Amino acid sequence: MASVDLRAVDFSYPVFAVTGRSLKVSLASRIRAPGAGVVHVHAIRNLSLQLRDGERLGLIGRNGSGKSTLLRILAGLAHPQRGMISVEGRVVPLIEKGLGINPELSGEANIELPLRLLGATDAEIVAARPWVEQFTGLKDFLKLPVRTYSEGMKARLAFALSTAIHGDILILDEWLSAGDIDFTERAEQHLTGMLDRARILVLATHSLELIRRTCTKVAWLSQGELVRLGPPEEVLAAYDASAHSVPRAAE
Amino acid sequence: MNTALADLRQIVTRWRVWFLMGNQDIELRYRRSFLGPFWISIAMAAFVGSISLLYSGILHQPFDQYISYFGAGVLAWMLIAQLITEGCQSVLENENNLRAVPIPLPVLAARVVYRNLIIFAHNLLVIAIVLAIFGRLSLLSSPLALLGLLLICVLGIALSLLLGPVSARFRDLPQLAVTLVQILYFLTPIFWAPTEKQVRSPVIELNPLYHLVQTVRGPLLGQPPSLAQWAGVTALVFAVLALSLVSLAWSRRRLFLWL
Repeated sequence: MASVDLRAVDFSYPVFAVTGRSLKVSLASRIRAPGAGVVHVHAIRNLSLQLRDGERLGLIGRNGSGKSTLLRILAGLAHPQRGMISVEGRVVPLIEKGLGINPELSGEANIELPLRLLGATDAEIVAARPWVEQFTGLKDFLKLPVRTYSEGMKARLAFALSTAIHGDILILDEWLSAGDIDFTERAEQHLTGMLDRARILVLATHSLELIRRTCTKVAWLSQGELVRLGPPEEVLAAYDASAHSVPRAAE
Repeated sequence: MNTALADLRQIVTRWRVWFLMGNQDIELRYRRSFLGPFWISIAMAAFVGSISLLYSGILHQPFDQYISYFGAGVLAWMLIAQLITEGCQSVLENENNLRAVPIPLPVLAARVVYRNLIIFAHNLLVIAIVLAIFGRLSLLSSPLALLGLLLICVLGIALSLLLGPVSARFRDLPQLAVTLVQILYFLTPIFWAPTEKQVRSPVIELNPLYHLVQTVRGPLLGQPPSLAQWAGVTALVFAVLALSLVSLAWSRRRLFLWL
């Protein structure tokens, strides 16, 4: 059983001006004007959400609406200032591309650390090695430093590493891109298989088409608040309607 | 506080992570030199040799006595100094990773300590040879230096836990630490030996780094620290560790905001 429970979660983060980053300046300004050089951004407001086995949640909303922040809260990276969180099951966060890959090291030497960072067990590492080699089809290139790879080859390696281990709860920031065209089909197939195995999926994306295809539930965020939560057709319709009714200038 | 202790236990459960990272650090730093990590040993030999030639003359001390004292002292000093300055980087050097996956800070602290232990081992090789050549290596008390080394490692973990998050919040702390460590290098008896009377002056007596260096240098040279000195250093190290766990309990939830 995997589950996600968020109750009345509030999260804000400070944005530092350069002077706010300095210990010397901060100590000096603490005496004169406390809190100088820091602006707080309220990224998530009073958000509640429950997910159970088999649910695939799509997050939609404009840039800066809090989608990424919500993903990071679910991944256990950002700790909200208020509210309650409980996440059960193994979380695999696929938020940043190329996690743990060091361009100076060979492809081969770059297999273990990214997987370990995602929480892979010894057995998973052993299984992943030959699989990554075979799946990426990089062959002799695996012995060369990653910095010598083409963009497509890098994307393949990053894709393979991101999808080599399975989680109960999968957190995806945008669809994983797969690099060259001849690789895309295989990658899509593999990704679909991986999603099928995951119990819960949370996907943030701008592609409504993707949401329609993949998700069983959609959350629409605006300025950190949950505007609407429900079945895809219903929420997407409302989202579409609002997008057309809002004058362009407001963007 | 319980969460901080649970994080600390991850050093054991996720040892593969710091072990891999530490090995990569060493490999990347020294792969381009043809001797590999043994370049560390060569550099240490050249450094200790040349400084000893110069200063044994300036300070009118016998060369063999000076090089043994300086070598054993600077061996411990380099480790401590690196643990302070690199402890400040424990979070910043993992900034990209920490934006993508949660990694307990003690694991990152262990990476800093582990990689510096590898460097220490290469330095120790040189110093042990130097001491052996001049007949100053005390086989009887040298094993006690391991205890000193252990204390320094615990302190290294604690310093990384304390300084890493603060350095992420205040980006000028690492530079500040480098400057401070440089000053302490001159204040601590490393390349100059204090007389019996000078040792009791507060400048040395109250300098924790002096006692810390002594826990490695003393045993190697056959002058192990007194019981009181051991007790003092141990108390200090565990006090800093306790402080670092309190700081971790506070900083672990906020760290993400500072990246």
